[in-house]
Amino acid sequence: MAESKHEFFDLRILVGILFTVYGLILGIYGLAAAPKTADTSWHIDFWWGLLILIFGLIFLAWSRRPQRLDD
Amino acid sequence: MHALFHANAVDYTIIAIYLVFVIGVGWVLKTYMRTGEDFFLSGRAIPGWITGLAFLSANLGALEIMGMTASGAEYGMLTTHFYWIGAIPAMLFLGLYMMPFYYVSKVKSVPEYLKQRYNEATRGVNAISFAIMTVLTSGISLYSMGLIFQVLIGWSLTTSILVSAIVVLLYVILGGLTSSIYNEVLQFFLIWAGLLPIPLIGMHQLGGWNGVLARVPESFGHLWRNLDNPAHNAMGIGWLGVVLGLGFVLSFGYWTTDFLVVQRALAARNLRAAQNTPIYAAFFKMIVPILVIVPGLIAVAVYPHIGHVKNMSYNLALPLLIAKYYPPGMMGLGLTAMLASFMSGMAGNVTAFTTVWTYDIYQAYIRKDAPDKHYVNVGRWAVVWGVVISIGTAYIASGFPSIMDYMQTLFSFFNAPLFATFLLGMFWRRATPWGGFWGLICGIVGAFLMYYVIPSGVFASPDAGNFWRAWWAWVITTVVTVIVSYMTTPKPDEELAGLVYGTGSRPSYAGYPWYKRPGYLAGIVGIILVALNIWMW
Repeated sequence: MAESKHEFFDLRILVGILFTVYGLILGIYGLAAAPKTADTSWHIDFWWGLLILIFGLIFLAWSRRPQRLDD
Repeated sequence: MHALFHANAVDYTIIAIYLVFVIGVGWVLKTYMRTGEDFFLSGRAIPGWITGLAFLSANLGALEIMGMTASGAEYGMLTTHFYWIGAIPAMLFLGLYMMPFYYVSKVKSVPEYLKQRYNEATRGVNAISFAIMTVLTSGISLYSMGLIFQVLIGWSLTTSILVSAIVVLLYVILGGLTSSIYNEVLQFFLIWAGLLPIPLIGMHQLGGWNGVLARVPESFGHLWRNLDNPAHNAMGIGWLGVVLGLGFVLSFGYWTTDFLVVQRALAARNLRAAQNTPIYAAFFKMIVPILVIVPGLIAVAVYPHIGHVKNMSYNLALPLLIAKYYPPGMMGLGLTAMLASFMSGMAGNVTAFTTVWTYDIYQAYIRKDAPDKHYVNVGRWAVVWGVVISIGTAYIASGFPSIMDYMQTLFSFFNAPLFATFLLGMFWRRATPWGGFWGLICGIVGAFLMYYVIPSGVFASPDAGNFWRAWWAWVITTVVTVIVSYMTTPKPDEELAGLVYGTGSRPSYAGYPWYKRPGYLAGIVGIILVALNIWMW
């Protein structure tokens, strides 16, 4: 039954692209402008951007492996 | 009107990328939409982890996020009951016991199951009430979303309503349910990416979780300790009302029969994935309070007068913290998260409405035997006018804001009786078609009567009133269904095959490792749930 079902476009790639782009924008903006608020003395844009970038890259790397659809 | 934030270029870039990207997802999926099953059911081909995240995300609308943060600021951790006992047991029950009947019977929608199990009349009641409620609900949330963005960044109501409605319209019309589900998963991650820093920064500032608790009223840290008597807690409820009304009837009524969420599980690739859908979702559901209720407590710790002074209503708990903690850049991500949560809720409503309209109303009552392609077209048009009605409703709501709460209360009268109809239908073979029909009708009428006849002063609080009305509506439906069933003839067993407990074989996953088996996963969720409740007792 399962083999007759089609595969949609891989969602992992889409998640990977969006978060990589967001991570880059936020990280680079954070480095360049280093915006702060009264309550965040550290560079939240840069560090959170970096985390998001890593998250996006993990999804991109994961999407290179075939989808194990029945899991 | 003075807006809370001033969004700058980088914030608008982040929002614009999001809008383009979600429409792009619909575009990419367009080529896969060949048949009605592709468009309305994603070809029943989606992996379980995706349907699981979509199941949760479709429910995590912007209203839910803002409302639950507000409730966290007003009542403290007590609000967590809506996420734990008020959701998890029902989700596990859906996955373990109900999904086999839903999925194996190959129905396209919840009303269609009612038709197969009971009769056309029962389906009609559910299909029509569901379709009306769904478009109206999506209109109400459209309006609330417009309000939020007006307060946040000063957009006009028309701008936010049109932008979000058109984006949702485009991606659903292009890629159908798959597009909605894919975007829900993206939105799920975005909501975390955009809002998780709030509780993290807040707790860091206030000296950790204990630091937060030290700055809020003592009762805010407890789930059960103050429920011995309704007078002892701000919500005005007792433990029995929470367990029976919220934990049993309201929660099971919503999570197991509302097509908005059930549709996600029906799109799963196989029965095991369908059963795991609500169970995976339950793992994440349990941690959503970090995102919505903890910020509510932080808001009280930071602004002790919130809710008691002008210009600082509980509903502003989350926006105030975003404005306080986020610099430009993060602000864009936070706004995108709000927009994402709103769109996932609206797209969920639109896809559920489209399916019920096309198959349970149009095909059942207007045109029976058209080619498959015809129904796909009807579905695409239903997306268009569903969205148009929603926009109209949004403008009506903006003229009469008080009707919003009123309508939401009215809608809640339909789920509790429906849950009784399903429970008897799935687990009691003797329930007859007309037993189901009259039980459902009497339960709905009963809920209305209780609302209009019993003075509201009888209940300690509006929440307590909702919990107890739901419970008694459920009792009415159960009693009437049983009585009428004994007076009418049941369906023969062969017509019930696969629809009722005991008429088909139970699925067995004996060959699979434990982490793929619904039973084991549900057991783990259950243990975590109990541990969390003891920890926060």
